[in-house]
Amino acid sequence: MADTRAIRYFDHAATSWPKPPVVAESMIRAMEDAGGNPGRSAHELGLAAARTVERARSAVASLLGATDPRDIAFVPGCTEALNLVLKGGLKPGDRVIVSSVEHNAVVRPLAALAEAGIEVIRVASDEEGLIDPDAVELVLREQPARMVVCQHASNVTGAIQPVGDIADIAHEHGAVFVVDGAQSAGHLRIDLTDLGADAYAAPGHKGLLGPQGVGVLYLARGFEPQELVQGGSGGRSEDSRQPRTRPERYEAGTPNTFGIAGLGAAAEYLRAHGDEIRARERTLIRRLVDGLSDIAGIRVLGPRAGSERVPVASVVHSTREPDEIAFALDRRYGIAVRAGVHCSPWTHEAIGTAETGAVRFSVGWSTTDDDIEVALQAMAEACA
Amino acid sequence: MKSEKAEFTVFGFAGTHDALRAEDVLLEAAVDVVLIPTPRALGSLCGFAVRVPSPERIAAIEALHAAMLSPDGEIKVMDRI
Repeated sequence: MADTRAIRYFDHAATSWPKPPVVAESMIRAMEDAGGNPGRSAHELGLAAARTVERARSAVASLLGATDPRDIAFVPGCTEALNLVLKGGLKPGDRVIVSSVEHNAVVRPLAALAEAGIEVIRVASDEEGLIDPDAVELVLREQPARMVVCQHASNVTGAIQPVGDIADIAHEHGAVFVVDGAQSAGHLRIDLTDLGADAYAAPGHKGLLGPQGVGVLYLARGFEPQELVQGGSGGRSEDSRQPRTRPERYEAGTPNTFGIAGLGAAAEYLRAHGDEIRARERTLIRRLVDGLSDIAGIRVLGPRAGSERVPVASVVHSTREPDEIAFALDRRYGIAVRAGVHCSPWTHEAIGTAETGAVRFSVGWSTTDDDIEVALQAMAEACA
Repeated sequence: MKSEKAEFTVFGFAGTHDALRAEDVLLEAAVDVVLIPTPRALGSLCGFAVRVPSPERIAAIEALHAAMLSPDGEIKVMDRI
């Protein structure tokens, strides 16, 4: 077994690690004390499971500013949530407008939909990876669309998109607005009521600090995409059609109760400590960006130093390959980063790094000042 | 052991979330509430229903309405205490 105590972990944008201890504790407790099937049976273990799921739903709704917990569906992950919204909200002949810096969780479903007769229009970003709301409006004015899709923040550049302004523009033009919150949930304070998104998808295992295998889909009232999966919901069993009630419509089959228990505990943890965590992450990423920028040959991608970003910093070096740097950091210093194109070829294309990819450092709730200093020293040595 | 039958009112809800919330609301209102498997006479709503003693029916309905919870069905059952 690897000695994880020695790891300096900078891959929170892929999966946050470690988790707050309450996450595993709540999962074990659910497995031992609430092991029935939630929403199905009225015996003690079934009710305990149902209470576990609904408590988690209320905690996540409260964390994200959703006024009605029934508007929060638990799904296997952010990718599935986005697939549901895109495939359930668009039909052949529709047009969708999408930012040019999306993750493959959006890019690939849209590629499949394009083959099915849905027109996909990309809005270009600037060289820092930021989307201009006016550019979205320009496209919408000339080419009305059923849906606008934009990430909240980039997993490559850390850029925070002006999603509030884009939401207003989308709605003015009669389009629904879908936000990929993979890199914002937990790292930014989210108020879904204010944000204006008709759909917001988030993974449980990144900034929300929950386990892998559970994600969150928020749907505003009035936006009712077709569900991806039909099946048992615990109720109205005589009806062969999927119920229309929320969240049952979007949660067919037995849910990942233990994962949901972990996510619920993580949401409670973030409700208590989120402001402090976010402030620390902002400080640490600023220090990291400044330090990386000072190393000869290094270019930090994305928003210029001093601009707000989520705690992600990707870099390229003038002569060293990203995979070579990542391997050296791992083997020589025990520093975990991610090299490559980060499942975001569109983003790398937009910022001019499609050929090289980059080395990504992503900071999280457990990152320390010492981690930053060790990483900067290691980068200076690895790139010398 | 001799037991006597009492009348209960059972409220059905469309979803688990509402049924569990109803239980919380009624506990808060000091209504003697128990979650039970949904009786067939209620149709198949969610997997469990909310049972209260019929003398507490009005108090239960008032508490549910105050919490903006609307049962999707209601029946009376006789059960042993």
